Amino acid sequence: MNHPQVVNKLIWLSFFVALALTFIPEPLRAWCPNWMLLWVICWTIICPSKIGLAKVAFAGLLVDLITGSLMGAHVISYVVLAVICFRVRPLFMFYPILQQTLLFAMYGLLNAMTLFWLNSLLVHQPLGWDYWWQVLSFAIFWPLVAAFAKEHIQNNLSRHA
Amino acid sequence: MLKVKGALFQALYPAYQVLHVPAQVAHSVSDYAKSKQSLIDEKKDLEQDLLVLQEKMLTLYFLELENKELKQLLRSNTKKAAQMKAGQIISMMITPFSHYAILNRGSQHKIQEGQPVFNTHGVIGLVEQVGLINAKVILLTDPKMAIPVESTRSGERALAFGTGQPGELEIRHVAMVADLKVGDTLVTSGLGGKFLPGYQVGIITNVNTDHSKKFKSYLVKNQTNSDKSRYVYLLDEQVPTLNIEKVEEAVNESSSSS
Repeated sequence: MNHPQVVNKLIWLSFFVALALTFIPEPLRAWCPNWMLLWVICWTIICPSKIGLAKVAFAGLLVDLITGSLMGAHVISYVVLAVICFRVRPLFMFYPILQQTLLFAMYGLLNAMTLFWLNSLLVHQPLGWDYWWQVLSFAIFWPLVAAFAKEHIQNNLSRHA
Repeated sequence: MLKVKGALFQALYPAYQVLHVPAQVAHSVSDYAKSKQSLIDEKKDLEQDLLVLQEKMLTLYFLELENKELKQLLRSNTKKAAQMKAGQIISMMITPFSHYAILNRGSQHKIQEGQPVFNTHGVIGLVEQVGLINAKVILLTDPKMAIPVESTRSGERALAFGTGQPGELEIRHVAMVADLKVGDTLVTSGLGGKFLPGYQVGIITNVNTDHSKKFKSYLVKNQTNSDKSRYVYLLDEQVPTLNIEKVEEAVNESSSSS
């Protein structure tokens, strides 16, 4: 994980996986988190030096094109969230896991709200309650990621914070 | 901007095919794992459908003949049979903000922007972007989409909007006096010139009156299963315009002879 090129490749691979996962069909889809956001936030927390805002914006553009939503909606949402996440990061590291997960849910909620708001600027956008399930499933992923990346996050923290 | 979007769409086409593979694998695995009993049931259902359709075909044949004669009496142009093109949906994206499908037919197969797309149950959408060997079809249930409809019972016209929920359309802000009821079948009205008249769009399942008690909105159930269908067809024909002069001529002739 310490070789920058390996991390770079991993980031691109994770973006690709996230795009493939957005094609999950209907009955399951409502329960899926925003996969690309999950990776964007996780990489921002795990190694912020490797994922710049340009990469985040590019990821957002890819998702915009693939999902066919309003052009730039995901770009704005992802970039704003990446900045917030980066700013909160030094504090985030010292929170207990429960609090971290709650904050993660807030990120998911903010993303869902931004997307809904931007999309409903142009057209009347009816929305079912099931839209908000993605926040829950999004938050559930943080403990898993934290368990995998614990060592690495701590190593990085001593270097960057 | 549109050109940029078109170019990006073209560039992303290989990505659609690769990215869709996991979902396709899941699909084919579930197909493979179907039990013998469910296959037998499916076959029975299909045989029944075939019988019903064949019976309908018989009546259709007579109706066509009758229609031809009537049209000759009216001296209007007899409509040529519409050119049909079949296509396969290779990828489907359904999110609350957009519903679309990718077709494996493009400008090489003479697909044009704005062509209506059908499946066996009725209209499912409109071609939005055309690539060389692929096209993006925006589905009726997309929140950006609207389709002109009319009730087969009363002839009342309305616009049905997509809701972002699979299989659901909505007719909004209709005056209280409008003659629409729960259970009405809605077909395309042909207004606007995009869709041919007479194709089934859905059935009204719910009525809501808004707080001012001046307007109603209706929920329309679209039964095309557009989010599940794999094979679709596209019609070449434009909406026929009535040749008013010819009709006038025919009417005048018949009135002067009588």
